[in-house]
Amino acid sequence: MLLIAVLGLISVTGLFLYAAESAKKAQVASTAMITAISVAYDDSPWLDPSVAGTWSSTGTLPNLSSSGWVNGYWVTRSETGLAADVIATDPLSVPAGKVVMQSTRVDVVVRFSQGGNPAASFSTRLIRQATP
Amino acid sequence: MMLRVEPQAEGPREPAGRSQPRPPGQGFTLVELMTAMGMAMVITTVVLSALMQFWRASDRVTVRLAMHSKAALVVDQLSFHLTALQQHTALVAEWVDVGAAGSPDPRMRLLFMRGVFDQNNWDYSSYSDYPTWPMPTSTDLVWELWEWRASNHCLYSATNGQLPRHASGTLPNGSHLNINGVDYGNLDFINLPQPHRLLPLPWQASLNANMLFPTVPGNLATSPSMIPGDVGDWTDLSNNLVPVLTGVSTDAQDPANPASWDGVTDFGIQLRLRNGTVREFTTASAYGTLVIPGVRIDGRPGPTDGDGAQTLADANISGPGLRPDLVRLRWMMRDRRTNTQVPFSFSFPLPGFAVSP
Repeated sequence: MLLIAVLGLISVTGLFLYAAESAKKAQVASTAMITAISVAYDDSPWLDPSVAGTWSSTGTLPNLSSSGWVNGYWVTRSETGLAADVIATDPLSVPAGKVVMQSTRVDVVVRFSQGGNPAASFSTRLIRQATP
Repeated sequence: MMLRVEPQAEGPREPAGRSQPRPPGQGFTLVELMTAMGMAMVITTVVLSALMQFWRASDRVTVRLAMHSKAALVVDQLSFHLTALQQHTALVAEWVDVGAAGSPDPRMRLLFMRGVFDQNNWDYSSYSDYPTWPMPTSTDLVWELWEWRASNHCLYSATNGQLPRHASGTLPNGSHLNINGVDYGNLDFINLPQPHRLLPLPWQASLNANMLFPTVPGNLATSPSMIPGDVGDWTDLSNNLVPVLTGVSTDAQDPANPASWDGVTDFGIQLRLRNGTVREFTTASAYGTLVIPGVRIDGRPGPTDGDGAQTLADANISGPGLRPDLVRLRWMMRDRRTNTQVPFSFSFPLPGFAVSP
């Protein structure tokens, strides 16, 4: 009887672990990538107060690195660019030329745990409108 | 291995492995029975406890997965629609109590217009000043409303209704649709919701004044079906609201008390304007309305058309027409049955360049 019970418990545990792993994959399929895209376009996401303290950044634009918990994932964001990489000035700004366009590159990696395997990653280029 | 079968003696069969045969007629001792029952109880308790834990964990995983799936649906829809947001139309964010005195009904709203333009969307004729009139051939402008209700913890969405199509043949023979000197005759067109670059408060009343051709003496009188009526106005949007984000499980909810329902228990809207400033509405905020006028994108900085003095330069981050470059939403999904709470935060880039805050 004890043997049967132990075998049953092991089976149940195994099934649960398998189901949990499947659920984790399904969760990744639903929100990991959209979280990555969201953070790519926003260097300071508007987080719930319960996790807002986990988001931290180092450096300043156009070179900025950030990380923290977003939507249940550990997200790391890296934006790099050259301050001198001005691709255009806005002649309509007042005074003219006050606004410049800069190109930066953003890389985002989403993980289930800090230091865990990547669940999703996204890279893009941003054109930033900045005041020099 | 060889098995040997011994002749069975009288009395009950002895348990396997017992070294000494039990004397005939003698049952189990009290100690043996109590030991066996104790072991059975312990094993049963452990198994039941493990199963309970398993089912609870399974429930939580299922609920959490459903929450993420629902969030993905909302983000997918909003991303698609906000990407097509029209910069020339007003944008409204609002946290307002629409309930009667003594029965509050707070709602969080985001209203905007989306669509896709082509070269026929704007009137570039020689007429003096129609910078905000769409051409009648425009077919793809849609007002869109997202509304979260604190009363039942549900997020709703609506778009304007179906647009009636009118062919030029419906006009009286020989007549052209002439509006303030602009001749729209001989055109097939679909009645459109009005873009509304400005929405003076109360913005609902302004949006309800939704006649694409508001001052037409004569022509519309002979063809009243060309009046868009309620299509794309506030009444239309209000009537079309449908729930898109609700609770995950409904069996634990009290029908008599919708405010206690699970679902989206908190909702917030934050707009990052092009000068880097942030305007936000949360359930902890004071009630308020933010109407951001549209910017003129037809290239004609005419300040004397009666709807303000904005020019194309207003679209810049140094001008007063501060359009947002980013819409941020956050909400909390709650399920009390499984004691699960998941906060979600998403940012939606709007058309145009990102700003450097």
